[in-house]
Amino acid sequence: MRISYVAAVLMAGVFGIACGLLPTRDPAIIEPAVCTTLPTVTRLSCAKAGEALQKGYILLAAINTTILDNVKSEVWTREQGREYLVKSLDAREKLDRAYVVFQKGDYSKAMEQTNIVNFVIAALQKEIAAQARKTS
Amino acid sequence: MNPQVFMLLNAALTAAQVVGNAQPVLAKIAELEAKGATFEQVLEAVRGMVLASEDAAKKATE
Repeated sequence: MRISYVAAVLMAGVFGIACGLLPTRDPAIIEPAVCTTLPTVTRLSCAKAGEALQKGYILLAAINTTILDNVKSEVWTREQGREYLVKSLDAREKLDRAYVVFQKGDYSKAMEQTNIVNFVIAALQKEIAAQARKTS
Repeated sequence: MNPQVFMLLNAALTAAQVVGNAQPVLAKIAELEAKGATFEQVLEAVRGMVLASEDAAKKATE
């Protein structure tokens, strides 16, 4: 019982970090140059959209590597890996479209689209963790 | 170990695995930022890493 409690607390901690996508980075560090010329309100949404785009791509690269690792180490079958990869590819294409919107200067729309995709990516991450539970 | 505990730990470790696999990308970003790369250059580099990881995963799952 004591071990279960410790494991549950440990799992909640690690999973909490993982589900929070990635640690928040200061948008000022990597603020897109295009944002700096904008009025304050637009500048903020521009910087936030840029940060969200970057987070989405970072997480997709990490998910793809996780798929690769788990298929290579035979934790998952190729079919299982393919199933997740299809979802990852779909999310990347949507993120690319949001990036195009960002490049066109519609930062609010880019932010909205990116947030939706990042929600899907976070769900995919949770699904991958749930698959590990079934596989074990 | 209790199988239920093992299952919980395994799920947590997979979530941690995803976060762990983000580290090389974050390291690359830090490297580019230290060199004074623009946001667009960093984003293109990260996107390139996504495409490379897609190719590797595609090959592994074929």
